[in-house]
Amino acid sequence: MPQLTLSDLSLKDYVLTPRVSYLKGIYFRAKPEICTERAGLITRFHLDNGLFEQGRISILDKAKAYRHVLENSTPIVRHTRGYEKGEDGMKDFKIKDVSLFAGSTTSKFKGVPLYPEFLALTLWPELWTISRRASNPFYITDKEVEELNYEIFPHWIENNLFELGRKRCSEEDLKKFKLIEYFVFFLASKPNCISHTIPDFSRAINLGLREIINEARDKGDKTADPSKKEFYTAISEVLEGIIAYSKRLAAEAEERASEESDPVLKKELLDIAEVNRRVPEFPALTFREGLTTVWMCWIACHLENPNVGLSLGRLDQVLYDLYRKDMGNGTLTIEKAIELICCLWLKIGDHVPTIADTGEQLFGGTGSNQAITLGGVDKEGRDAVNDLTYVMLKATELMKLRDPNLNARYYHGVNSQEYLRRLCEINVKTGATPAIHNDKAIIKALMRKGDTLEQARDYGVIGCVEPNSNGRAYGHTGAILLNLTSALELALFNGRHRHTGEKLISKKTGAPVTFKTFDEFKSAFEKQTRWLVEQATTLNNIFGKTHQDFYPTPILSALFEGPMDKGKDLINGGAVINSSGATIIGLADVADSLSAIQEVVFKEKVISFKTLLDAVEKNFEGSEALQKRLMNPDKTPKYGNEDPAADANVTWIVELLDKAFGGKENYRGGRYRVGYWTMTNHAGFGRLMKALPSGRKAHENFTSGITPVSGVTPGLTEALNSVANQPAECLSGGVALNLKYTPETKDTQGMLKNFAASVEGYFDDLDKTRDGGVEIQFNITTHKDFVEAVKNPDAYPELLVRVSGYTAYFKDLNPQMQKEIIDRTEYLLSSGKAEPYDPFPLPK
Amino acid sequence: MSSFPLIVDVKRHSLEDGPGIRSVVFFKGCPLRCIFCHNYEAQSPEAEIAFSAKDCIKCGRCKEVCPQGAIDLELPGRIYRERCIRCGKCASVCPGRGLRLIGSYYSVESLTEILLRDLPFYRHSGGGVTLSGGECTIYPDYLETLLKSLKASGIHVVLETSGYFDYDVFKQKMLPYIDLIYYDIKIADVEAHRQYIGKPNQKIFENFRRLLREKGVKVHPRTPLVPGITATKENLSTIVDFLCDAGAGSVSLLPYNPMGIEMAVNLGRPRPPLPMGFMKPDEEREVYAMFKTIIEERGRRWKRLLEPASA
Repeated sequence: MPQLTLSDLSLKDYVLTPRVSYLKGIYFRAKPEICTERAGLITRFHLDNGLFEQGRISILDKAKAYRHVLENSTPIVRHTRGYEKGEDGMKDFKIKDVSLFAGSTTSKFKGVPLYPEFLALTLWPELWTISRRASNPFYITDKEVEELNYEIFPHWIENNLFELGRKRCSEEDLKKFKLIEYFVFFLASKPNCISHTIPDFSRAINLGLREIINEARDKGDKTADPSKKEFYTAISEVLEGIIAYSKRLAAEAEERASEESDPVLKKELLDIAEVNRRVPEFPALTFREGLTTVWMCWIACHLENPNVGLSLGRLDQVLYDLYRKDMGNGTLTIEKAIELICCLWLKIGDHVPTIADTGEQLFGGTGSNQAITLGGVDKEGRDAVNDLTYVMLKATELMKLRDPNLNARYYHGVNSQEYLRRLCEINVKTGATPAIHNDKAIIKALMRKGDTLEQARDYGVIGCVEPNSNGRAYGHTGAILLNLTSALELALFNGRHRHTGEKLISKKTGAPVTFKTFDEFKSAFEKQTRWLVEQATTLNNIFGKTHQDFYPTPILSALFEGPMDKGKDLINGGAVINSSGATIIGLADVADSLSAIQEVVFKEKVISFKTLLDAVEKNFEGSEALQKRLMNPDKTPKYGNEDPAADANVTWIVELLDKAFGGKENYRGGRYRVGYWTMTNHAGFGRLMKALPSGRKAHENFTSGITPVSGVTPGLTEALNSVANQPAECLSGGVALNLKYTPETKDTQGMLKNFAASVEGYFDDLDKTRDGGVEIQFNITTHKDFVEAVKNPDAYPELLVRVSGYTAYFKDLNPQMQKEIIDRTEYLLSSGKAEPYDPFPLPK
Repeated sequence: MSSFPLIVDVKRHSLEDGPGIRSVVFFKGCPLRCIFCHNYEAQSPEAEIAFSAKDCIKCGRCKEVCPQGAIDLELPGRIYRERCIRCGKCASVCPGRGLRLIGSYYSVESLTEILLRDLPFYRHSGGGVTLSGGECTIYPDYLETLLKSLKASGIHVVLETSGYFDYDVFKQKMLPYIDLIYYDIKIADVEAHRQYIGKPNQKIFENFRRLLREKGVKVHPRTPLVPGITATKENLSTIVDFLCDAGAGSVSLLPYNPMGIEMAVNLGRPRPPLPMGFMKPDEEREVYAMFKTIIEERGRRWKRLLEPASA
């Protein structure tokens, strides 16, 4: 049977079933609720077993703790209530849960799981007010606040990863630690999570967990190495826990069925029980069982790994055989398949991450960023787009969810043009999804980092946009979030930073007023960048070692390629691929600043470096004409206009960062890879930072991802070419190119054709004379709607946007980030020209 | 005319000037003086200074460098045009986009290089290059070299013309390298043509007839709609009669575009006496309804009728 049998790829006859419509409705209605169940069970297990007193926590201790949770958490088959905004705080509403899947990430309908091992304690100061905070409130009961205050959080003050990391720092390392506290240099994410990876579901689906337990037992018996023995025992522990959890759900479903009078609902509960009795213990025999296996494993993964960027990978590949089998024997219809997927995706999105009020500026509006990857090629390079790809795309189109975050792969010449056109069509319909990834460029980039051809071809997307080999690369893609404008700052002010005042932060690299050539300035910038990279990677490695001592990951290790063979946990290098990832904030702002310095100070000699620095220090007050000139692409080279000098500065920077990070080894023996995706951080960091030589004024937004600066790239193809000319091998950590198109209604077919052609042109490697663009993502909503949605957010509950990487609901974003999206260069596809809108005023 | 043309702009990723994604070259200079010209910047073959009031921050740098003392910051249009020698010094110091020098020279090599940059986009969309203006055919030698160079790279070429050219020169130097011609038929009445366009129309109409008989090139006529001038029943009927007689199978009506008015003002020209806004949807519908009647009156001689947009 061919992989593609659908005659209508857009499946336009299919709509949301009543079941899914209802579930989607309550999903959008419900606000997140903090769940203390996991934190409570884990804390008590630590206390009962004396784990807090140990100098380290073994993988077996961890495994037992997780098994304990899986055997004791509430088995939720049917949620009964959610919480919504009331006139005075939150009020509850009844839910008649009719999902086709049982189980829940937390005990709540839309829950905020707490990981006190990580940064949950940052919520502590606001527990009493969090239900009423202005942006993204979380509901919590008084009883739960008390529980956290007295029974849970106190035990973790000294035992969270951040503090444990700090404790192992030397005097010298503590100076680096200070940089995290200054906030403007980089964020180290290990105190918050590792998570950013994709498990391998295929073994769980095809073999069943029982078979993996047997394998672990065999391997444990055969080895004499006590640490390996312990590892395999731990694997069995957690897998037994997952099986037990699923069976407890089955029992709960049976009990509910016995109380249910409605025969239809009764049958549905019994169906759930039947499925959960079999899987994930045994191989999945049906499509629904396959989905259930994924779901059970996924709940377990989030028990262990914080809900930050943990991703599902190539679901249209791992589930395709079951889909085809069921379709072939007539037990599944397309309508049912879409319904099952919609139900699963609502389940996948049943949790949101903990964001403390202080984190709102940087991460406000984020979901858990669980990426799903569709399409592309298989390990052998063949077309991997199948019927299930289109079924999943249809679910994406119908649901318009921020989480899971959909990513589509496209290989020109192997995948069909109809497929690409369909991806564009869904972007027009949803306004923001899926992101489109260029297989050719990404496979090349991954291979340059040492992946084999087969591994590279089998990449999945993590979190926002990061490509990693699916189920075998433990690549913590967001380990370091580096604010590159701080390196520029240190170069401009000779080792000082305006944010931290007169004190010398890094090394002196010379006062720019004394520089005779642009190269001297570049060299200063390079030294500061390398210094910053050194600090960030050293700290990441310290935290990595802290994880090795206190946070082994038996659940993820059981569902991964590598650990079972090596007898080694992922955190100790058990995976096949062991890279770490950094992402860079402020690329275009720094590049344009370099270009501005090069042009006005050294080439045209319009002003001295001193005059430029004075203007920058005064935020261009009194130098309006200079600022105007610096922001004018006709007068000052700007990245994104095919200006050779401006684009060359971008290339120089990405090569520099690739070398600086690529030369560093991580704590698992892998190397660092660099990406350019900024989530909402370019707005958050922008707000903190002062004026730049690029002409950007103080506190204005930085530019997202690898995108050229908003408002200075009037032509679409010029912008696309400038990005496509950058070397993919330096972008192996993934990029987000954010484009904004005006929705055009006059000629939708014509728009789609040219939409697709623009993507193809951007991806084209021009007969190998360039790499072609790596990734592209869109916002397709009218300027007017965005402006309206700021004023009247309740009228736009489902307005989906791409920030820089993941998808979010516009209404959840903070004003600075909303402004950033509104101000992005908006192109009219039919003319390829930017629409000239004035910058959106921030509300006072 | 000078054989060294100036170019107003190369507009990339255009979807409105022929099939697919295209780069459009706007040549500067035109023998006609249409009152409803929508691209005033491309009329004169000489370089010009355009002033845009909304982009001016009144920094006064232009005034400092003007050798003619032609700039007055209090003047709404800033420039005493009669004193201006179009040296461009003011535009070069303007920090923003308040003053711009319109018209730059590109060698054929450098222009070709720019036009080839979007090859990947042409390739995937069935697009190419469109030569427009102004009236690009006034530069036959330059065009011949450019066209040969584009054809050497296999680029699909569209030419937009007013039809006011020397046929033999056109046929010899340009026609062999062109795939599609958008040919403007604006006003049928000779006197009205002279009045609104500045030249009689016999040459344009005759060239059109001859062109339709040529092989290897598609010719597509277009009529810009200007309320009260071209968009009248009388004019459109006569044009349809002419097109039928010449053997054309279709025509595109181009919606009225008032963008030229601001451009004329920015260049210091008198404001053309034209409606300021685009046609309203019901006005547009009315014109199309009227046009439909004209077509129907002439029976089924036309296979297809292309509506608003270009073909």
